Amino acid sequence: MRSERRSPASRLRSAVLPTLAAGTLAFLHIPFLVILLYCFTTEDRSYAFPPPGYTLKWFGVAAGREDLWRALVLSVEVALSATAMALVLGTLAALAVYRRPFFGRESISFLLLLPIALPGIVTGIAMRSAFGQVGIPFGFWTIVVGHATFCIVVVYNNAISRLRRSSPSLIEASMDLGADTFQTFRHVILPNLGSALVAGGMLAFALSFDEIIVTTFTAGTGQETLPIWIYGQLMRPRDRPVTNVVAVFVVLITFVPILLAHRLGQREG
Amino acid sequence: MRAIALALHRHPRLGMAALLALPLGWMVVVYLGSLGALLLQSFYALDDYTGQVVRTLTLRSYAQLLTPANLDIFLRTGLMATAVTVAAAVLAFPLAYYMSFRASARMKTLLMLAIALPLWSSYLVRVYAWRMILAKEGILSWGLDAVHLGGVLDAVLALPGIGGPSLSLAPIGMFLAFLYVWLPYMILPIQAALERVPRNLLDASGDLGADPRTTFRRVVLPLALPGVVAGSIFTFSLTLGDFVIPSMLGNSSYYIGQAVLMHQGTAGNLPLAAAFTVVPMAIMGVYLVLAKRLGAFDAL
Amino acid sequence: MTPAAEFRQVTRRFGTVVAVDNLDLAIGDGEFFTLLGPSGSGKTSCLRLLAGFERPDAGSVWLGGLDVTDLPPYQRDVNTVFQDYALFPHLTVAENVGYGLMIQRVPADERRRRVDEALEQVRLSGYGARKPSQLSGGQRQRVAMARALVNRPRVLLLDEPLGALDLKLRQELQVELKQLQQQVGITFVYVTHDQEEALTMSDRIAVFREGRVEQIAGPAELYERPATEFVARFVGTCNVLDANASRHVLGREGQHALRPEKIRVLADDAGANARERELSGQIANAVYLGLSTRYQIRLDGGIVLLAVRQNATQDAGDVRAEVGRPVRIAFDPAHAHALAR
Repeated sequence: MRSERRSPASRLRSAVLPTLAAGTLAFLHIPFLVILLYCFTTEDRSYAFPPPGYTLKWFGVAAGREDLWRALVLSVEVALSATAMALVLGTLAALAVYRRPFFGRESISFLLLLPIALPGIVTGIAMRSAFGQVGIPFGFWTIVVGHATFCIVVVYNNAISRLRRSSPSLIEASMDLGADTFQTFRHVILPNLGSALVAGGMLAFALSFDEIIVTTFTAGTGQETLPIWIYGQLMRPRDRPVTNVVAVFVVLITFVPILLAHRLGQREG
Repeated sequence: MRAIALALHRHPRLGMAALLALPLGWMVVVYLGSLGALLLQSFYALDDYTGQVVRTLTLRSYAQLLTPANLDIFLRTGLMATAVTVAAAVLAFPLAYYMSFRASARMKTLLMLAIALPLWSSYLVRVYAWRMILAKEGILSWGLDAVHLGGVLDAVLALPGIGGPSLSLAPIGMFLAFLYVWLPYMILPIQAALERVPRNLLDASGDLGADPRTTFRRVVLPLALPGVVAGSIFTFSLTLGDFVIPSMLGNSSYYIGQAVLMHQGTAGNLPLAAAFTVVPMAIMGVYLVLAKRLGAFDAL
Repeated sequence: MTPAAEFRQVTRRFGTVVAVDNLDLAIGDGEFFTLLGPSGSGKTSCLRLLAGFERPDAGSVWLGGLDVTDLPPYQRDVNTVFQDYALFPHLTVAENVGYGLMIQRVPADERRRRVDEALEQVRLSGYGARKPSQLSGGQRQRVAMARALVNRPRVLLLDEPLGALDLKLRQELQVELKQLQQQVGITFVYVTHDQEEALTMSDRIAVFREGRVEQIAGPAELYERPATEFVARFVGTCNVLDANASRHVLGREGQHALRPEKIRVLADDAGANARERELSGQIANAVYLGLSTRYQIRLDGGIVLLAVRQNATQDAGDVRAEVGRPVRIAFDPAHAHALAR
């Protein structure tokens, strides 16, 4: 850093950027603290601030809610299934596409991106129309199909950037040493991809776990994933802090895989 | 097994096709097929008397979009989406710039994490947080009262079009919530685009006589533009189709997402819901094509 | 004796570019054979055709008397040392070296024994547990060698393996590689664009140009008796005398090549001996190279020749002062070699 005498004006100017940045950051994070705070309030019908009192009872109440547990289980099952499907489809697509630029390659990336780039209601209503017209009953698998469709691109992107970074001569070397296509895949390509797939899978899991818009359209009557449950709760004026408790746990559940995914992605750079 | 491997090795196109068959098949059948079904549905109409969908092609559902009430919905949603996009770009840029040009490597990683964190934690939770904050008796009013700015809040709420009985029931409240949830989607692409600006370009610009502000305007900003466009795809698209925020924080005037939900739900008017959906779909289609031209896809 | 490797009328095209043009080449068993040429001359394509990474558009490729044209790389008895080493990053050195054996299902203890042997051969014993990322460039190159050699291939293919290393290390490894080849007795097919490297290590060299072979010969023959102007210029530096110059300088018809070190720059009091011709001229330029001094001499009559003199004594003096000095040169015309084209 150069050490010059800086005028107060220039020092002020150079403080502007970090201040703005910090402000934006604060804007992003303060709401969490608020949620956390309201887990403990004794007031259960409004969002009065400051909270009239503090209590831990809502954690117990939440644990006792059967509908909550059912929603949680459904969300986990859906997320696991959707992630598994996305992993397979995304990896296959990435393997097909990464090596040589060919005519349709950009179109394929664009196609995979569409479910996320277009508004959720488009995917939701489109699937609802389609399933309805074909006569497929709405239930677990329709939710999973919806989720898998927009999760594919997440796995695909991770896999492709890893594949592109790896040297093509590795595959030739493997073949040179006696391994055929399948053996090369098993011993060289897959291990190389490994952590990228784990990262992609975790992102897909979090994406699916959190999704509400498409799910609203593709779920069967009465089926509730966790986000749908929360949404329903928010319309009710009772036991509000229970929703807060659930919110905090949801954040934790989705935060952990994301953090791990990020670490994995960084390490194998 | 060996024979299959040999065949795949000899004909790489065959291998590629085999790999692509499943994912491409899925996307075409499930996704494009659904979009096709949607489009088809929008050309049906609901028979008012029987309450059933009549499966003959007609433009009646589209015609229903042209009522003043529905046009209002489109306008309202479009304006909100635009406002949110612009505000997000303005708010995101300083942070992205700081991260890319001023932050140390360690700080940068921390900041990336700090920004991705809200992005990946539950969207619903984040909206809910704002409902609490904006509530009449909630923390924001309390805070403003504490610094004696409560009057300002009341004045803002009294403004027609964006105000309302309380922040949590006003368009301006919705605006804040939208801004909050989509902001990371804008920060990250901009930051990625700024990362790709070769630092020696800034030196070259200075060397050729430009002061920092000019360099920013003429070198950094144009190169960051694809990132802004990429981010705007998300903010615009997500706002256009959302029904959660309008239903949780807003007054009774509908946004596109709510209209779609309402029509397909209790009313059973799937064709009208479909017609409604085609509009944001078309808008985003055009937007995406333009964005591609502007290079936004490299920024993703 | 059956050649270790053979190209029979092999052509390989990439779009409109002909990388290998109707090539006939036979490489003998146990040879250190080098494919030498500038970038894009087809030498690397030839190597890849032998390895099986590419298939010829015409002709056939033979290994040890067998037609392997249709065989994929994993069914050929060759192994390759890649230019970027291509070590598997997720495996240890030992696992890398043992990869081929693992694929062939060699039992674990035999595999371990042969891996240890191979590592010893390349002087990397004890490095087995490390990962490639923990090794230097030279060490990685040796692991790549060990990984190829441990499979005891009939032919070893080396694709500019020393290209990424600095000069001193390269020179060291050149000697090591040559010794290794003589120890192990396998046929080495070596690709390089560095003519000095080729001269150092090879039993025979094939000089490539635009998909065709200009000359195949041992190092000395290649250097002293180049077949064409291209070879004369590519291998070392050379004076190429066109028909005119040949008449004037040599008194002979046709194109000739005359190596600079064959031309003696005479001291003022010295003269040419019986066999030599003597010509006079002026020093146009002089470059001091430590080991030698290189002169550009403009003969009376206009022809410019390059001459190199070893700095045998320490009084090399200031070469710049020499520029413009009148000088006489002498050379034995028998050292000038007639070029085919």
